[in-house]
Amino acid sequence: MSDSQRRLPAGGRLDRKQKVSFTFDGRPMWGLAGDTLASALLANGVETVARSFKYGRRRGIVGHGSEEPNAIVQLGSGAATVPNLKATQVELYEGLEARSVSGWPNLDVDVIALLGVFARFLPPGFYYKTFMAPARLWMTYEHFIRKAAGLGRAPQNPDPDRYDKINRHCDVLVIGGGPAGLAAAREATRQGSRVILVDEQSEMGGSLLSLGGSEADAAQLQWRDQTLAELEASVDVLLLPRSTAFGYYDHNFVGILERLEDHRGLTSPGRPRQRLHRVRARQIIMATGAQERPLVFANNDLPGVMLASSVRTYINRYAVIPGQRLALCTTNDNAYQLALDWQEAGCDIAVIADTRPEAEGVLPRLARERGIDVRTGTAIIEASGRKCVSGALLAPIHAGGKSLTGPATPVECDLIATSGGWSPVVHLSSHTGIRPIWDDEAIGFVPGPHADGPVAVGSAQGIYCPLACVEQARTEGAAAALRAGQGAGESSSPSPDIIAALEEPAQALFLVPHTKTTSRAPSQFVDFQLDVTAAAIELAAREGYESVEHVKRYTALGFGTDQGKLGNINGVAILADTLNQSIADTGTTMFRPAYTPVTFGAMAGGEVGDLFDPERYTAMHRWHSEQGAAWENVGQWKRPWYFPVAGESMEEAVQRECLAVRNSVGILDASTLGKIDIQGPDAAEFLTRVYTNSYLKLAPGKCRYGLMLHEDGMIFDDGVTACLGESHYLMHTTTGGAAGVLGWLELWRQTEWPELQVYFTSVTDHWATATLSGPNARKVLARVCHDVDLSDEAFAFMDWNSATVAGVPARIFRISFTGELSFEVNVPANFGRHVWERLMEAGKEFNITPYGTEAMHVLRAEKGFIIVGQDTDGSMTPDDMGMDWIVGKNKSFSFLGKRSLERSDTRRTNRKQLVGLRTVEPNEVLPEGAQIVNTPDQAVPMAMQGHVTSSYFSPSLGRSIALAVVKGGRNRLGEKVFCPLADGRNVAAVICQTVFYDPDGERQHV
Amino acid sequence: MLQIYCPYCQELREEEEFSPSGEAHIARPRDPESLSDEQWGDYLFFRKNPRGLHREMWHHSAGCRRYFNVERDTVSYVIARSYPIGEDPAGAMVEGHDHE
Amino acid sequence: MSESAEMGQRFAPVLESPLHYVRARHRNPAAAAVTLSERSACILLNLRGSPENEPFRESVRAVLHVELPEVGRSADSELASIYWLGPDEWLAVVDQATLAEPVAALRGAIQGHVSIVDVSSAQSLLAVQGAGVAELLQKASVYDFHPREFGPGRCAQTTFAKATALVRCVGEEHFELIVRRSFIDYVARWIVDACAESGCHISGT
Repeated sequence: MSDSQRRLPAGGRLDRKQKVSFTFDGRPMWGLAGDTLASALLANGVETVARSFKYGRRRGIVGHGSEEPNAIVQLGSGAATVPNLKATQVELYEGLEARSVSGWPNLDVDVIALLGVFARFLPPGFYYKTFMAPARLWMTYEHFIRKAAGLGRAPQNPDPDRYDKINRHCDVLVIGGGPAGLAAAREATRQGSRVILVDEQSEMGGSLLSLGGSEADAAQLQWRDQTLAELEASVDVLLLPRSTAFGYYDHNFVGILERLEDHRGLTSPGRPRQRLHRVRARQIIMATGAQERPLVFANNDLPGVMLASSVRTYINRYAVIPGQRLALCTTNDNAYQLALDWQEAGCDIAVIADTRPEAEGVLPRLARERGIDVRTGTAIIEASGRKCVSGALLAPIHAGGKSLTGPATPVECDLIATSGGWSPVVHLSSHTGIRPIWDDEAIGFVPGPHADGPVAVGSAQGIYCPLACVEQARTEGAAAALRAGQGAGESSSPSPDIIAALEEPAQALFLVPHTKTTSRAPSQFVDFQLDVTAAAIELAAREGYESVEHVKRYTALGFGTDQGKLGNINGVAILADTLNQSIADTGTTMFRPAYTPVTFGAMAGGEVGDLFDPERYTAMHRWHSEQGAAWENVGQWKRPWYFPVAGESMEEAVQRECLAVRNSVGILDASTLGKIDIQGPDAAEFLTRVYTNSYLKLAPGKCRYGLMLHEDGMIFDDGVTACLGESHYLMHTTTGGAAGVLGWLELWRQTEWPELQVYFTSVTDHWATATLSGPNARKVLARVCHDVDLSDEAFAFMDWNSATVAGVPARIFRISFTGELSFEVNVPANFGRHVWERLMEAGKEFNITPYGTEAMHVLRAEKGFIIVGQDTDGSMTPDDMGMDWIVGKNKSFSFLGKRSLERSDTRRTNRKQLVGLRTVEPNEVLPEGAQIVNTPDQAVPMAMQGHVTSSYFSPSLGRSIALAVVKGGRNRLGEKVFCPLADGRNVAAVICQTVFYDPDGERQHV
Repeated sequence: MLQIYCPYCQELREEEEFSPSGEAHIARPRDPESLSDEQWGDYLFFRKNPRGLHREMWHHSAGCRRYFNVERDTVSYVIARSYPIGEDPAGAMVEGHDHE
Repeated sequence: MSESAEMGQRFAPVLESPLHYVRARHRNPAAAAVTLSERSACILLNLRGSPENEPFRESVRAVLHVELPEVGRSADSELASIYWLGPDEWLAVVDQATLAEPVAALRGAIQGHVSIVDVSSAQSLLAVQGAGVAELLQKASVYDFHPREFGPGRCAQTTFAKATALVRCVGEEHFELIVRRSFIDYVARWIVDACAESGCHISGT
């Protein structure tokens, strides 16, 4: 069928001058600007758009929005391909390529459909029953099921597009731009609120965009235009069309996905494709509308069975007439509007089957006046046709809706539209765990009560009359503004400002009875996407599933990408009926974010690639970079790992750097160490409480190394603290621990010891630190520092001095992490590179060698110095590390962690203790993390004795060295142990002392 | 995503600015050495974890760097109040009251 | 001439402001909705003390000619700007040209339990101006910088991208960002990326 036969000659919100060509499953087609892919497919006469999940049945377009269960497509190909879109939400653009995601090998020949004869072997819970055993075959089954069921294909290459993320704040967030949302937003705006109005469609208006050409409809559309114009002209209003509020989170936080470019093409070079709005709203108005509910009847999944409101939308908004002869089945007055518009479009109406005993409202009367065959107390009980609808079976239905009262009669038609009433869209309002509650009058679940949460307006609250909707929305708009602190709560506009026909009550009908029992009648589908039938729900109930949450999981009702937007309430109603209880007592399942799928790109926003995480640079970063440093990530810091010279491997570079420090002089960028300035009369007392040792007698000009424990007695940081002056200290922390230590100090000062007068200030970023280490360190420093006596007598180990280095005021600490003579030169970071370069020049004669973190690790391991976080893991006490010497047992205050050192577990003698390991084969370098056993000749699992924490090849010793923690290790010096490695070898090693180099520590005291 | 009132900055701030710091009002024993292992273990490891109202400490780590206490419902996440360290609001808070 | 001054002349210390390298590498676009400019040659002081300590307040007033601001506010004089950081913590920014030795001056004037720490090299001070500033701040931070909530004189420490910043409103479309030095390359790259469509001009390049 060509486009022209199904496209009405006039009407619709389309640009008729602009033809848009596209392809569906490779077939070229065209539509008009303003079409969705779904309306264009209908205009092109496409009936089958999918094959069903379980049975491979033909499926057509049912709805016109996010509720669509069948028309799931994949757009484009390659890196930018997008899977799992609903054709009803895809705006048509030139060159669009869409493919159906189901049907294998194609929509017309479907393997699963050929297997349809086996359908009776696919009852609810068929995964559990069929595929659970043997478990190892699940992967095989899953592969087949996925391929056959058609879940779309994820792109294989990096996303070519940019995405954006933005934080928003507002007084009133209105979700939904239909009549209620527009009215609420306008009212809140008039009260002076900052308002955000969001709607998932391309234009604001919601259901108003589906209206026809009647006088009442035209007046409503005019009201929409005026209201929108007023909002657009307001300064503090943000209108977000093409945006879906997909998640409602705690304290009125809402995630909104704005599709900026999706309607223009597959990629959007140079412009962000989508934007994630993270909205914090003082007040939220849910104007999310209501979803029309289809009636459940036999063969109701045939292509050509659609929602009444959707057919009306296709006629009025897209000027597409999806059939020639309509049979309408309704439980309410509202659907009559479709019949009137259909007739207006010049097409035939076979019948209106109204399930109610009588229909005397304004719209039914009008329909009869126009000569339409209206039959009350009648329902469509079955659709007939092979590939699509060719007729319907009508039967008289009992007023209670549970049984038929006479025989069925056929009627000819090619389109069946049904309306089972409306289900308020309660998804968002239940995202934080508030269960929706059943409302008999609205015949639907309405949002449950929120303490300070959103207010629902209009049909989202079960108010279906447009007049009442707007009226209530205006009142709530003003009330929300008042709660947000604006206006006086009085709504501003006169009432009424919209016109609409009044409607008679609807009937609560969900499953239409058939002449046969549900289990024997042709399939009556509840959830199209996952092929859940009324019979399956009845079976689940008979098998003992009574909770709606269990039935959901057993039958897969509502598990599809449409989250059961069409099927859930019908499913609940059928379950309630089977269990012979009310829908209110049965309840509904919960909904979780996201309302519709959200791309990962939008969640990541611009924070990808080198903006994924902050990189922190020292003042000398560029110098290192220019020297070709290899980098190590330490927390967020980039630190030089080693400095390879031309052609050098890492191993060679590290050896060279280590030997330079041992034999002449090296220079290390130590700027990343945490530095905290501590001032106050109680500073020394405070330090003595948080470190294991005492600082009460640390004199100005002196430094002291300390261990910090958590209250459980375990080491969590270490570092050198210098006394800068009276009541003034500088604490050094580990690079990764800086923020945590500052928080820890503040915690104790602010909460437990507020009486202690002491202040902490982070100065990590203020100072750049160049560490000179090696026998020639003093000679180098002496060339750029003339105002301090650097001799060992005047400037001893663990002293510090103020000095001028290369013309810059500096603090020099004589502390050492390599065991060599060392000076740590600290200057304000703004002069960091200057001083570094002057030190390099001064050291030229001694072949000064910049060294990185790897050489630093080797050098300190040769000396048995621990690295907190490498040799400790949060379960190590000072004694475990052999550092009992630093624990002040006689301090008057019970320092943090002290009591825990006396617990029976921390006093055990067989705790893992730090020891050295020498491999029997000197060139064998154990992998860090290797487990240690007494003998490999034992059954698996072996009795573990500990593990290797640090392991290197020591250039100075010409052999491998390792630090390890071993159970009772200090009493096992000289014992041979084994490390079973992943490659199957067992490496023998001998337990030894932790200090491998210069055991008496003479080299740092020269 | 919570929104937390910082009693020092005197305004509502986003959760991203804060770090949780566990149960509030756990005083360090005055004389740890006098406690049995069990008593010390209670102080170290045992927390209430109630269903319902809970007093907990938060750190405004990306803001004013102050610690303070919050009274939060662990079911609804509603925050009844924020108050500075050292205050113990006299309100009749029944910890972990039943929600049913 | 003192020995240190002599050394200073001999070595002619080269100052590199935190934004130094970003400025050197960035290419300014033809049009820009956001302009970044770094203020250098400032002395930054972290001040800690009780707000009830009247002599402390008085000496700040006397030396810097400005009152310690209240919660969430900043204050200016011809010598200095002071920002509220916490209930007992402020940041003072002093123009080196107007007051060369503020630490000594304050230390000399202040009695009692206070802390004054020079953090001049620890932060980058950026003026951020232009029509795109409001959107940039919304992208970067969870804080609400709407003029109704955050007018001139307000300041707040909050998140900025995945780092943190002290933000001050100077005037319409004019804010000040104070960012830790080690994060400034990241923050500047982040800003340039966030302004990809509207353009970001970094002055001094």
